[in-house]
Amino acid sequence: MSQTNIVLLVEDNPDDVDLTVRAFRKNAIHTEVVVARDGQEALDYLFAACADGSRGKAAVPKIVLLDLKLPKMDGIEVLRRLRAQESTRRLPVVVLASSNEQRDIVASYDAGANGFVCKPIVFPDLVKAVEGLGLYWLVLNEPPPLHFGSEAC
Amino acid sequence: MQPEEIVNILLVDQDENRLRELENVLSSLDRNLVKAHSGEEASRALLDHDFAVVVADARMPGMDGFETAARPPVIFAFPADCSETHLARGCSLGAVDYIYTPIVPEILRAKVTVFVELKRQRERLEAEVMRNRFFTLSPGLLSIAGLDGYFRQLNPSWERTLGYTIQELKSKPFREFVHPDDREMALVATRRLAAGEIVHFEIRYLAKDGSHRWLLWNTAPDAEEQLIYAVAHDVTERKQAEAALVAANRELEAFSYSVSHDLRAPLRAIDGFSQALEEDCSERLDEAGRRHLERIRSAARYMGHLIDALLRLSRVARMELRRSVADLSKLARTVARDLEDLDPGRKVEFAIAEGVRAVGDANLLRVVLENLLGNAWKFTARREDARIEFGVETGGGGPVYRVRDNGAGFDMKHAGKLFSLFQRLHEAHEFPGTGIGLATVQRVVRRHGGRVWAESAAGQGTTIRFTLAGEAQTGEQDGLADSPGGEAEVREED
Repeated sequence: MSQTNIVLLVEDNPDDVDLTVRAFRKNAIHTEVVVARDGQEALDYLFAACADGSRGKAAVPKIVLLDLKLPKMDGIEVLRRLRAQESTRRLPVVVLASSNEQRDIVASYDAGANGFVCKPIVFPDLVKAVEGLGLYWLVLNEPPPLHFGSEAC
Repeated sequence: MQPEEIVNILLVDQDENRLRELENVLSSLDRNLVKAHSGEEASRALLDHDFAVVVADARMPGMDGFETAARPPVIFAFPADCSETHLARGCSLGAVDYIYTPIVPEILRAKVTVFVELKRQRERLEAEVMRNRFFTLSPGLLSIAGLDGYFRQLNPSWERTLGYTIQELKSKPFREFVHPDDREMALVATRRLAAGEIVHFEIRYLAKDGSHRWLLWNTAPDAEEQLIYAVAHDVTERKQAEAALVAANRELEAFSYSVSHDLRAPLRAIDGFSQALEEDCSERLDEAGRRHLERIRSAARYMGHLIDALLRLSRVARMELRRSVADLSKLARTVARDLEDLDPGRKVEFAIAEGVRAVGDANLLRVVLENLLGNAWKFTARREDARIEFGVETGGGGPVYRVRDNGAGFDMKHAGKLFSLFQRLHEAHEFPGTGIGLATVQRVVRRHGGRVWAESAAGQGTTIRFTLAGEAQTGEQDGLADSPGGEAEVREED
């Protein structure tokens, strides 16, 4: 499956979902934002997208934007489970949190986050942050190959 | 002090030669010998020193008045040919023993030794009585236990603290009175005691009414006797206060965490959707509508600043203090550069003293300088010749750090409010702000054991001074001496 510019946004707050999607739309880079409303939904999507032999079910995102405070299963737990699975352990995940509490930052990196961004309050700043994230993760960054090791490289 | 060291023997004789003879005979006993040549001198010596025994010449004039003062036993020396009446008179004067002259050294030494030994025994007994009273009356929990795990002796405080009788406490191994969760720790402590260590530990003991008491133990072993000497203090109230404090801190942390997360989300929505409204529905909005939207957005932004400042304040209070030698000059230069970068249009002259150092937490001291220099930057906005100064005053009381500006200043009659949360001395449209910055400064300074105060006059600039870590005990005087505009003082209260 080809990796188009797919972003998985894991976020339960509908306002934040709409604003983030809106911020992406203001961007020059064409992006498709897929939304998961809680931790379990995110895991279901990613395990389905990344698992061998289940191709076509879902597209593998180039970047996962993960909120920390989520219903059912919090963001740190989602990260841990992603890192524990062979198919998702290299998947780029940036935590998109509501605050920059030190312990959240530490816990995120400890759990294997690739980055940590505090959601700006002011919308133009959010647009700038999303633009930066998009430019880096969708354009500049070389994503990890899918299913590395299962085929000759 | 060893009792042996203070054993004094008083020798009384008007004849110096005979005194020397007594001295020679008794010198081998290795005691402190005091000589007196008259009854009067002897009485004075008795007032000044504590004697185990007095050896006195019975024929000496003035010995009649001697008896009243003579509390220690007296050995009178009589001539060998003296009559029974003389001896009887000596006894009536308080003699408890006598010797004949010329002196037989062995006899004198033997008799003196008996009295010295008697005195030592009496003192030992008195000390023991006193120790027993101390043991009985001490409000502390005193005990002697065997390494076999049983209490041997307990003072009455135990009955008051735990409600068990002393008999009950002695009847079972002491571990049975220890809270089940702390028995392992008690066992470890007992093992270390058995190995000869002095051990301090805190464990819970069960009281008869089913509650438990926290006891702080100081224990020392006596390997020879296989005993443990132990003092325990009931620290239950302190423990409860500590637990309440931990709970309160945890609650506070949860609160500010929740504030930081949950209060920001609606603000993002207010600002974001206000902009969306402006963009998507612009043809249906007139000039007034757009102005209202702008005000909504600016209020949301202001609340965002408030939340961030409050979070910084609570973080400053919670953060662990890491003291090191901080280069305040360097920190001030960095902060000044940041201010210039943020607002490159302004021209402000910074005068930052070189080599100002302080012992403190560099991260927190940076917060102090950010707030103070930031305020100075803000309040000099209307001056063409804005000047901000950072330096240190070294007076008798230790260093006093200072940030001075030539900005708007304020009337000292409002100075009392300056460091209180949300207190502002200027209108928001004049100089914007949250009213949290100086409260944050004060909290950092207090956590360093210092104080902060201000000096200002409307239109004449402001000077904020602070000390750190009790470096300036006499800082108040120093501050008052050069404060023509008056002084707002903030004393260390906690």
